[in-house]
Amino acid sequence: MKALVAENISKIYRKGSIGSGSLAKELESGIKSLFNKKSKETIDKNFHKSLDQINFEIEEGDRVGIIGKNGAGKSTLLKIISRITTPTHGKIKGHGRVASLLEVGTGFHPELTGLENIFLNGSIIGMKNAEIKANLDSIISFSGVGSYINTPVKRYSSGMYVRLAFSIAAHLQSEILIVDEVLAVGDLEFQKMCLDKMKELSQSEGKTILFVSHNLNSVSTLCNNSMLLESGKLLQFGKTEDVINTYIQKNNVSKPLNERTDKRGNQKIRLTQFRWFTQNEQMVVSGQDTFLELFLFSSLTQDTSVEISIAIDHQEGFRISILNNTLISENCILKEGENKVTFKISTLPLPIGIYPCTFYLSSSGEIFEWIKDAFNLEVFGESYYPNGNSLPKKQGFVYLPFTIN
Amino acid sequence: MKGDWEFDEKGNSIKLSFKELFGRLNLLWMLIKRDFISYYKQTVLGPLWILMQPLFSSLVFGLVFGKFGKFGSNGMPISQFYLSGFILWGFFAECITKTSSLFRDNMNLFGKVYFPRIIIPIGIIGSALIRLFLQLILLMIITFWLSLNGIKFEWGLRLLFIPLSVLMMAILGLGLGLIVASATTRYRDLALIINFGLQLLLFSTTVIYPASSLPPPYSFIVELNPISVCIDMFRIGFGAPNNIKLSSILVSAFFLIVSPILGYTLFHKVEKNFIDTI
Repeated sequence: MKALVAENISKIYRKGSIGSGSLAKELESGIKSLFNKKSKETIDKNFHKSLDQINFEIEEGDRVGIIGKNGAGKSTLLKIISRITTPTHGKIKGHGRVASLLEVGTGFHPELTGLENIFLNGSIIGMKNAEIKANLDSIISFSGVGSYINTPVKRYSSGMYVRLAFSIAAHLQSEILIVDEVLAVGDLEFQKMCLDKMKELSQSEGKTILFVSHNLNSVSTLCNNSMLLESGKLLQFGKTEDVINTYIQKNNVSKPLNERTDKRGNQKIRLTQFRWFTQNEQMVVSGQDTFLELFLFSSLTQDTSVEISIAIDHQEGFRISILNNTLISENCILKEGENKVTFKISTLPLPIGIYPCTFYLSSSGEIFEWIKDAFNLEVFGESYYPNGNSLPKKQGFVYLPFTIN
Repeated sequence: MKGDWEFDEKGNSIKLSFKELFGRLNLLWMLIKRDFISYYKQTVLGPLWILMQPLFSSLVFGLVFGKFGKFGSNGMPISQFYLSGFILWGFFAECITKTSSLFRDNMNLFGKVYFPRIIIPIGIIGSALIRLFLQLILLMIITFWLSLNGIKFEWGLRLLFIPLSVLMMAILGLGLGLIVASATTRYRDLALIINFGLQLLLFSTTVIYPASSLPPPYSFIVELNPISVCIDMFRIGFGAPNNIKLSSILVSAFFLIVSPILGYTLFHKVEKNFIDTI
């Protein structure tokens, strides 16, 4: 049985402020267009194809990842599938109710409590109060908001918001679940919980899942099939592994950790997840305190004192520096099972760019994990100097703190 | 409960499926509840405000126009004349202001997932009706108290004018509100006009004076206004004499038919992809 069938979907947006301006402007452009007919060229210039003739069929119970760069049309596609905006051409056929998690905060009313919002969200997708009540306990316990459930959601942190939103979307009865990038707001543990939950939902209840993420690790753990979008076109739709490979080749990003075949080390302790983040959960920007969270899984029964090393390279190939716990005489002891280690770089001195990082983990000569170019540190903006200036181009690859007297 | 659906450039079906709407009664109820909770949260007097608004408006306008201005009150006691006027006017004003901003106010619901969008304006009318009902009880108590103090009322069939006029007002408020709502997604100007326009409109209806108190050409214009017609009919229910003219009824009938049809058609046209432009 097909859960979703897209037939030739296109979405065309008008560029600029045409049509959304004021009455006066509208009259002005109306009068102008009476006098000079637009050539076809100017029409093409004023429109942007966000989606261009997309065709696909998704089987019931499939977990489909949608990957592509910013502006590839991923979110537009999800909006059309959720039926909140129409395609300009084409048709989409669906089988079953759709629950979605598109942007943080959609579907929530800030003045209502968490509990009231659960009922509001349930009724939006067409559930009866009794059906919602039956799922109430599992929604609340999964969200982890606990006693805050009777607090208006406007007082929630963004993490609590997204945890509750995901929990609602996942537990309400729908046949299709759509999740956009929002999970990135939560911490790693919660992201993992969500991935596990979605997998479970599709396996036990046959729920169809559509998942957009920039995190290839998450896509490859969750999704059996994936589609790759590039400037509005569907480039590839098939096995996640193949699609991710194409994406990596095209965009030169690092492979997900669990698909790496070039790992060295005996894997008794291995790196399972990582995340770069800043204090306020924003994108990594130079000049800000920057954190690297590592999840290390140890299969050794005894506690192990280890040396963790992250080497940060420049894209041109030379090593900028390393982060190493022995350098600062910090003892790292890993227990059996999942461990979380967080490194902090104060006022990150690196300019905008992509920095490949090599990961090394050992204990008294025994190498557990050694992955060259394991992941990237991506710096998206610069605010190193308080006045907002950044280093001139080709005038260095690192910021130095200095003052003048 | 699995359903097949299709979605193309025409958007969701323009045909109102009553079966689908009926299945969404729970959502309607949640929306009304949401409206009440968010409206009175963090207020000291809470729902008492529902009664305060028409009471204070009646007090001020009753003193200025009724007592000092001597505009008359169509044979009704002044208190009853002004309170009945402001109750129904408040209902209309609430319907039209809330409906006209429904796209912006409900962005985060519309941005979530599909549901029959028309539920939102129906919910707005619903919660306005609940407020009106509470205010009506107050008006009934006052009327009863007046009758105990020697003013005669004929209760009977004329009471039917009350629900009829409320229904007409609801249809007008919904229809005109939908037209404004759809237009504001393109022209923000209209959102600014609405509040100020309502203030002006108040002075050209029979809320604050009877039409009979004006000189001929003006009284005729005020009487033609369908809002005046609704308010006059409402007052008939509370004992005012029936002096509505046929021409006024015809004009009202025209508005009652055209505004909801035009409003719904525009609403449906805008609803399918306003999320891209707003």
